[in-house]
Amino acid sequence: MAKLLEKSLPEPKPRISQQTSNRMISIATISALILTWVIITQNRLVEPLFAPSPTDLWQAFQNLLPNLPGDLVASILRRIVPGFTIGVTVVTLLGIYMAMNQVGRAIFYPIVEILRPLPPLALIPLLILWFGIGYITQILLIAYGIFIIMVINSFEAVRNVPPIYIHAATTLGANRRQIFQRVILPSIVPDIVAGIRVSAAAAFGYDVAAELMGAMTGLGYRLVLARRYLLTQYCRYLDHYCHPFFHHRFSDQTGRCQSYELESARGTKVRHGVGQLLLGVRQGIRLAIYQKLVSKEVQNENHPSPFCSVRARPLHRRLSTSDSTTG
Amino acid sequence: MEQEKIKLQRVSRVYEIGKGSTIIAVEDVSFAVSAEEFVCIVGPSGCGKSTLLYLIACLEKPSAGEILIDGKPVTEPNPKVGMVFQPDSVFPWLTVRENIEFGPALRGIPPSQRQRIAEYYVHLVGLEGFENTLPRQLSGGMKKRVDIARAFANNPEILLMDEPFGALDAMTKEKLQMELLQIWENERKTILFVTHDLEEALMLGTRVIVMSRQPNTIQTILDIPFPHPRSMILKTSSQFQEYRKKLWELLHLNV
Ligand SMILES: Nc1ncnc2c1ncn2[C@@H]1O[C@H](COP(=O)(O)OP(=O)(O)O)[C@@H](O)[C@H]1O
Ligand SMILES: [Mg+2]
Repeated sequence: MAKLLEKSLPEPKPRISQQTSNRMISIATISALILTWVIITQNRLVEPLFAPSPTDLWQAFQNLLPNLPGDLVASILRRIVPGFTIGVTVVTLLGIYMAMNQVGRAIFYPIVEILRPLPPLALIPLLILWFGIGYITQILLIAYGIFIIMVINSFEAVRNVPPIYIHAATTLGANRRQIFQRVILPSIVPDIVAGIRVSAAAAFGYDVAAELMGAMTGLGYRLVLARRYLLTQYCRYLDHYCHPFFHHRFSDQTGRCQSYELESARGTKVRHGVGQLLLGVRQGIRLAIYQKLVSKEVQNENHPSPFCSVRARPLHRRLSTSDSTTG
Repeated sequence: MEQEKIKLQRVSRVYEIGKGSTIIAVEDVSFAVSAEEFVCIVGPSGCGKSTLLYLIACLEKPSAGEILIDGKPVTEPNPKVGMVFQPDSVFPWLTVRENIEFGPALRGIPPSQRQRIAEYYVHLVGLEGFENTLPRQLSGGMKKRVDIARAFANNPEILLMDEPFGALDAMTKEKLQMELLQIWENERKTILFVTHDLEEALMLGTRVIVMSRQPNTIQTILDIPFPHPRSMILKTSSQFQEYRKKLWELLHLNV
């Protein structure tokens, strides 16, 4: 009997070797990309301004090193963490409330549906009008961005809790509060975690957008400065290496938190999959709009802009010592 | 006459499906089950067996008629009435042990005592070594056994079981049938057991309720006279085969 049972468990060995071979493929891909990059930049096939070489990047990294910890702390601790926390908390509670309470749904669902198509960045002018250029506006932008991404997700998560779990808990003697704590909350964790993973990437995007509004520290601020002075290697470093790096670490952690999958009915799964797909598409559109806004920002650099503050000067001088590497 | 543990009086359940059209899932069903009886319910699929159990567990309300447990009308779900559902209902976010402890934990039973309860029922359903496993790593049959252990660990007086062994292989099924009989003989619970397997109904039940489809109601109730304790040898006896034939004919008169 026991042997029979053991057989039904997946055998660990082939899975590990499959994992290693997949990892090898990943390493090979990345190595090939880096090699291409080195060949292109070393042979000056492209103007260094448009594609900085690895050595430029290393130089830039070393120049930024004194500022980097402060920027990261500013971005992550002062803006992303509070904004993210507020967004996730509000959205989870509202989603649960809308799913479990008819009146709550009647009140909030239409409001959510009206707000959802609006890209959060379009709210920046209003936010500035209401709260001024500053910390509160920055945090609210991030929180609102997270909210918009996750709201339908958390609402559907509660609605998709299989009724059989609630029935089972009921026959075991659970009251309403116990059903909420012991059945509904744990069943929506995977959906909430999935939502957090999707929105974690966006949080960095909104953070950069937020820092375009009058921040004096942080990654986005550094990015604005670097773009302004055409120090591409810094942009690239900040844009492509800092953000995805931290985002990746974060996803990795939340991925581990997602300790189980709900093996619910196939219908729910398909619906869930379609929902995720739509979320992804919306995310893409929103990012495209964001990129467009940022590129406009860069084009406007030649004109005096309200972002070009006096405070930037000393830092500019500090950065310009490395101008020789820009060529 | 013994105390009637469960009593149904002219119970019906009608579902509204869309505009004006309805389905009568259970129609005018009356029967009584005495304490410590083991009653099996057989019938073609869609004849209202599951609905009947949902009604007794008070997960659904009857459209007409009354359900009494211990002489009192049921108004809300009661942990005295446990249920093993037809589909898998193991909580996927809890380990095997935590699933089995779910009922006792709700009632605030201290962890050390819960541990002992869990150990006993893990052993009973043969899941030793899987206590700390999450359900997604278990096979369908193993999950079903967690379902059964969880219902038993809550120590209900009445157990409603909806085709609990339907998805199991023949060997596991026979083992669990024997164990269920033993538990019933030792712990004297009242069991209502839905199955589509006629041999299973005859093997386990002291009575068998035969239901018909359209109308979804009771066709006949058969007393099963085989003495307890029973064993698998019973299946080979000529009397058993006779009853099997009788049941088969009753079911097929209708279809
Ligand atoms: N929630 C429901 N809504 C509509 N019809 C239902 C519902 N539950 C059961 N039915 C119908 O009631 C009848 C009996 O169902 P059920 O009790 O599940 O049968 P069985 O368990 O005997 O196969 C079926 O025709 C089924 O379609
Ligand atoms: Mg059924």
